Amino acid sequence: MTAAKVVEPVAGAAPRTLRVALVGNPNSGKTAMFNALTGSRQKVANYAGVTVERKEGHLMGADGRRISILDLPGTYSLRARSPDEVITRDVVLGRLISEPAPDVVVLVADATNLRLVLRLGLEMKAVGIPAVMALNMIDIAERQGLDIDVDRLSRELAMPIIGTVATRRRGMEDLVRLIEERAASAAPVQPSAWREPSAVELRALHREAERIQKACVKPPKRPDTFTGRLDDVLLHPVAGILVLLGVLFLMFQAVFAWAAPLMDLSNSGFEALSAWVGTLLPEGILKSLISDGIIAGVGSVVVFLPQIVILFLFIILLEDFGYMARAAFLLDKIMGGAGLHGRAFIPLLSSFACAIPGIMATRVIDNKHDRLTTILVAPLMTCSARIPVYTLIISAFIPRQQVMGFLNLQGLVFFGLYAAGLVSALTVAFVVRKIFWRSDAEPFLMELPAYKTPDPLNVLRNVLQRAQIFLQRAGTTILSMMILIWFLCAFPGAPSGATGPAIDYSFAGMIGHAIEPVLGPVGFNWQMSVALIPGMAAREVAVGALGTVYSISGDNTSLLGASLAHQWSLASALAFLAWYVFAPQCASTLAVVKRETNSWRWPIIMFLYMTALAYVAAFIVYRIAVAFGAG
Amino acid sequence: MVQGLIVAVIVACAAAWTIWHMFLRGWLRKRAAAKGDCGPDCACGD
Repeated sequence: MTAAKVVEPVAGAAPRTLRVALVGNPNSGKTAMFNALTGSRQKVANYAGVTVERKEGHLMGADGRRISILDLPGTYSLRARSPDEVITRDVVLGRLISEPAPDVVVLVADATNLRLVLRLGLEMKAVGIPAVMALNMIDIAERQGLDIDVDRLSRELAMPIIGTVATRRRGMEDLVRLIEERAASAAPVQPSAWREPSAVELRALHREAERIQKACVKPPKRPDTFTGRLDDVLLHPVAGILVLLGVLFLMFQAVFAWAAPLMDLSNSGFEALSAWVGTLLPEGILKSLISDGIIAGVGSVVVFLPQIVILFLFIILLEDFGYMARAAFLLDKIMGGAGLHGRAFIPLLSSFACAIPGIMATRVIDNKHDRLTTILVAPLMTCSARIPVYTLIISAFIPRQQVMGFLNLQGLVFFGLYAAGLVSALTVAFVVRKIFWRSDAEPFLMELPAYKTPDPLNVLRNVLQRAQIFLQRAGTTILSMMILIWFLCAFPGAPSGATGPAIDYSFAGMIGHAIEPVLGPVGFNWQMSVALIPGMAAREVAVGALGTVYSISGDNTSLLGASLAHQWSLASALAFLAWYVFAPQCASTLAVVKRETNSWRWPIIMFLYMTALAYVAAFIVYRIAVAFGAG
Repeated sequence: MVQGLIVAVIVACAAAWTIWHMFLRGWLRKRAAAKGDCGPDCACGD
């Protein structure tokens, strides 16, 4: 079926679904409107071949006709630049093979800030797209004292206009009625009617948009100064950065401190479940698969859910309040020094909890190369899965002593490992941008929205959606991989009369012995090599694997630590830490990179460069430590 | 024996699902989309 094909209704049959697309600038309230129109009747997926999110919902019209609503990515123009904007343009123009052209486009406009959306409206008018405009956040515009001549604006843009407040569902019924009326009188879009405008044509469009704005929007007699006053502080080069650091500090504290009780609860739940299964099943491989493979595997993912929920709660609250745009603006210069886009700070921040949501959060970055650079460096940020590994090795090898009388040496090493991750991420980004995509730096254009109170229901719905996506995507991948890794660790079993631990004779053990000569130069013995294999499912699983290899329970890390301190040299332990700063062994992260980039090329590049960095770092640390007599 | 059979089935399913989920599904959908076979109600991609 081609995109432009129009299905004629058959006499006596149910009327065809009315297809509506929501289009508008970023931060104009499209998603809030989508939620207000469709409620919970939503389906989130991706467009074919790309990882641009496709959100579709539906409602019933006044005449009982089904109306399908598509929430398209935000754009400033049909002259698309990012993959998201290309999707929006192609859907609106009916050029996307997998998506029929919409019958009506709803142009969602931020009533307090019409300048850029007018240009988009003029582009749509030129193509003859059947559209209606929703002047969203009309309540804020009214409060600000903006006087909008709606009738004249409607004539200028050749589309009916209605005022709405999506977060309070104000104007939704009238909007639906307007959509149905427009659909009844509209002709289908001709896909060939649009061509990319030249710079001269764009400037002309911009001048026309400014003329319309001057003619139709009278500025308030007494301008609202709340946003301006707040921006004086929040966008200040010094005060703004201090406030941002404070917000980030609070967010970090929340992610680690607030999530801890819930993570403990989740851990206890899975332990209890594992114990309960233990009472039901006799000793054997099935019990081992369910307890050590499935329950432990799923548990290792679900345990991060509280962190993900808290992180996204903060991100969505700050986004709805209008602060994220300011934070991105503030950080653009700092991140730009390392070749990263201002918007990269959200994904990199998320990566401190887990690289998976961090990589998923790179969708906020429009430019393809900026996004790829951020994806490539996100796993270098110290995720919480590395913490058990760091804690185990530090407590076993770094003495509990004070430095300069007040600094804890163990804490200092821990901080150093975090700093090493951050510095290496910025360095790799710098190198990637300077060598590979040097001439591709894009200016950071973004409209700063007015501050507004977040809608609790909207926030809750978005947080739940993120949690669901995380569980579906990471949970399913990790579940299957944990089963496969369990299989590698459990088979073949130890032969009769064997004296060593069973894992020594397993496929994982064989692999460990096979790669031992490669990892020998960095100071790793075969047991350490074996631990890297199950560590591929999730980095912290390496701790449990070391416990199994050394025939000690992985839960009792103090005993395991004593055993490691006895059997490893300090040089090997430091090399192991250096390895884990860069360790690429997280299969679910690689799987998510594959999904997000829609290619095997980038996860392979990521795996290779991180392995190389890990190897070189471990080698240097080991050799220096040996030279200083720590071998 | 029964335990071994159940485990074998689960591991085989996990292997098949991994191959399907990480390799085949995306490739098949990409091919369908390229041919234009994807209907209006198809939630393409993932």
